[in-house]
Amino acid sequence: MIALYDHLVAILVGGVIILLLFNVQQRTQKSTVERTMMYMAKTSTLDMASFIERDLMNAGFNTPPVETGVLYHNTTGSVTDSLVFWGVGAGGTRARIAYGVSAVDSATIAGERVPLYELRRYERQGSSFVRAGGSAATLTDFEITLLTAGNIPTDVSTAQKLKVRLSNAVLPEFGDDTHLTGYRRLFWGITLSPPGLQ
Amino acid sequence: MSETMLAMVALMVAVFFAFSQQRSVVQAEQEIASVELEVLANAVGSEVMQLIATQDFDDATIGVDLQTVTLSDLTLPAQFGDTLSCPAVCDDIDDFNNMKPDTTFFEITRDSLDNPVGFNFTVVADVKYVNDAGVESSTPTWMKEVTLYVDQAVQGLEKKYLLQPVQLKRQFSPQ
Repeated sequence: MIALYDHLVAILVGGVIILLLFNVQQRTQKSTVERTMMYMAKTSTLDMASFIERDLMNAGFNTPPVETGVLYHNTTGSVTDSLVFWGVGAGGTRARIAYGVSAVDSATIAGERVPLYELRRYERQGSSFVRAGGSAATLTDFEITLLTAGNIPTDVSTAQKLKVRLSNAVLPEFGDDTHLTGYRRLFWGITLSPPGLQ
Repeated sequence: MSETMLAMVALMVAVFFAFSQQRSVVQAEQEIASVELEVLANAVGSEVMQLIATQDFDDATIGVDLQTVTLSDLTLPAQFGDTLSCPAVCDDIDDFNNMKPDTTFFEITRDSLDNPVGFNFTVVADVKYVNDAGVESSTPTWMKEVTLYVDQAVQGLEKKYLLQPVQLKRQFSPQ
């Protein structure tokens, strides 16, 4: 009887231990994946932030007073889909730079379906704009507001500051998967006073 | 009976193992939350750095021809900082040294009542002269290094997610 009891207890305890270890293993794996995703998203967000900051600080580069440094700006809803400005091209010379933002995918973030935008950067070379950089299709928000020196929203004719706000989704993978599920977003923003717009 | 004892010991070991793993998962969650705040802190720091970048290099270089300024005209490190007026009014880079910590709010979104939702950050600045090798100099040089320390500002029972302050460093020369 005692031997039978021992066997039963051992089986029960063994079963509990296996379930426990399986559960722990699942959670650890999920946590490791999330941590990796977050560090990748952080790196890509700060890289993008760095290039946007550098690019926009050159807005109005070598622009004479009779011209405007920002040539075109359009925001639809809360997303700036177009921005064209005089900046610095690849060769270090004055060039027209264009940002185009468009929705290319969507993802579920914290239970909410949101569009994913891609930022495309173009440089005017000769008579056409040529693709020269951009972001991955992970932006959930991208807005550039033109401001006066007193921080009042304005248009291209009197813009002296550029306020940038963006958010980047933390996603498990990049690509065309229409069932992407993320769980967080990283937010970044800055207000710039480019010397060329002063 | 011995098998039962052995099984119980095994169970205890497994429970301890599970607790320790659970603790590491919680720690990972805290690190993930900290990374989110690090990106926000970086944004706040970059903005303050931009503000500093728009100031003159030194009191001695304000509104004068740089060709007429010599190293001996520059502010001595011991005289850095303008705690009375900075950060409200700082007119050159070294005024930001040891300034009164500036609290900046970073808005993430708005709630249903249109109130801003975000985090507060405190920014502290440290300014010093550095030589061509980037090493701190006790005498004036033509390069000032600004280090910003951005930390999450918490009040009352607010939870602090940022595990350690974010540091941003940049060097400036007269332009």
